[in-house]
Amino acid sequence: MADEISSDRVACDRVRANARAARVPLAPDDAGRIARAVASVAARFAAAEIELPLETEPASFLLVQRREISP
Amino acid sequence: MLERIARWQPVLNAFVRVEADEALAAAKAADRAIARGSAKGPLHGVPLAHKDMYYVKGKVSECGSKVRKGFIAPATSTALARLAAAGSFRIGALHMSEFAYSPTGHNAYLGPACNAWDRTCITGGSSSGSGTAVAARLVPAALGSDTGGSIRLPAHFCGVTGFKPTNGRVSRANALPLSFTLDTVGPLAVSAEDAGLIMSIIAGPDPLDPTTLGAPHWNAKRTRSSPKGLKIGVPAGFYVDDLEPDIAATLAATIDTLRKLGAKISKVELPDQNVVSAAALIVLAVEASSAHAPWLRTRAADYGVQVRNRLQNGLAYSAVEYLEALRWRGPALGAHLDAIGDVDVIITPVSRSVAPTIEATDLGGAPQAEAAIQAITRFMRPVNFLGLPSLVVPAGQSKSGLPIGVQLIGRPFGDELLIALGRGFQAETDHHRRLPALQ
Repeated sequence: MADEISSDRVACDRVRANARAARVPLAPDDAGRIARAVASVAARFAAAEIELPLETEPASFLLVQRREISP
Repeated sequence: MLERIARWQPVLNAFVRVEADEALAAAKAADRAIARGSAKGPLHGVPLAHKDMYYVKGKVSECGSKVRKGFIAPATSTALARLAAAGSFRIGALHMSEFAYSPTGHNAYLGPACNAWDRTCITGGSSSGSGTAVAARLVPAALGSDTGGSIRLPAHFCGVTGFKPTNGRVSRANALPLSFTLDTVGPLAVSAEDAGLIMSIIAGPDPLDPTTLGAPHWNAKRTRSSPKGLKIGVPAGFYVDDLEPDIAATLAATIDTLRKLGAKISKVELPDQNVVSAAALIVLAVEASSAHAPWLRTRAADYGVQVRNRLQNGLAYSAVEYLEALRWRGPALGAHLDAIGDVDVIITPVSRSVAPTIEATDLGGAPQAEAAIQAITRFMRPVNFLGLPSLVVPAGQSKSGLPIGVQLIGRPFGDELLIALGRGFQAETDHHRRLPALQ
């Protein structure tokens, strides 16, 4: 299952497209190397199938963190 | 101190610059001030050196890189300004991994820093010079930075005390960024008491770093509280699988010592740390790639191959993946706090092993490099993603004589309690006082 996800999620084409969009040139072998390096991480995160409420934003972290401030 | 640095710098490669003349002048000025009865503060006359990523206006700060060779800082970092206001002066700048983006202490541009306990071993990184310089007592303390373990790993591998504060506790203004979400500034020092003193000076709100606004001021009184009655959680699974026997034995011995100090020990079941760790890697990779994108476009050949590869890795993630990881940070912290209940501190190893050799970890751009880096930083990343404070204290030695640290992870803004626990532990043990037999 994890292998299927990893091979699907980060393909060389996607790496090349993202790099073009970011205007970062890559050598011919880079896309494959990058895809292999990040595939397991992307797969692990995707497999968790995290469902976030619509209202959750990055700054929601501060609300949780600062509940811990003691008087 | 300058003589000691001159003696050991060729062996350890701890410094990138030694500013001997300026340091001597500052020391003499400090002496004159004391004679006049006008000491500046709690660090008056204390020589310090820091990772070469803390800017001092008008001074070179190369951040361990060829890309920033000769870079003159336009402003002084808030952390260094506060240390100077407390009376310390700078004796030089310390080695670091290129752009703070390697956990080993290798640097393709500067060569590796070497571990004071065994020069063939890594220091850990990215605060490589800070770790080995404090271990060799070339400086009494040094600032590092921690985005994925960069204070805690050198503390463990070099046998010193390292403190990564709660995100928002110390200003990052005018220090090199790597990941604006995960970066933290903290000390490496001989003892928890010294780390606490440095924290008391550098912590606190700073208008130049909005993440510090609203965070509490440092409470020095709390750092002197007793560990008696503290609730310490021991996680299983992720943090204890496949440990080297010396690491496992040190962890067990430390738990025994803390129990004898009156701490209440219990097991805790944490949320899946593999997912938390993956989220940390995604956020770090994308933010680092974004920060370096202009140089990746124009100066890619000026990076060491491993750092360039890692910076390019961030290009692979989609915007949705990155933002899902970032948006999940609050819920993930909430789940962590729910899981630990009223536990004050979690204890874990820092690494599965003691310091490996420089040669064995000199992987450059090899295919296995990313996996090796992820293995070294395995127990580090959840702390960064959740923004938690963490103290690493020396707690033992391997049969081969290399130091072993343990990691004490607190609740958000529980920084002072960690220092108190470290002080209590170090009052009962002498691991932090042991010196490497420099040869």
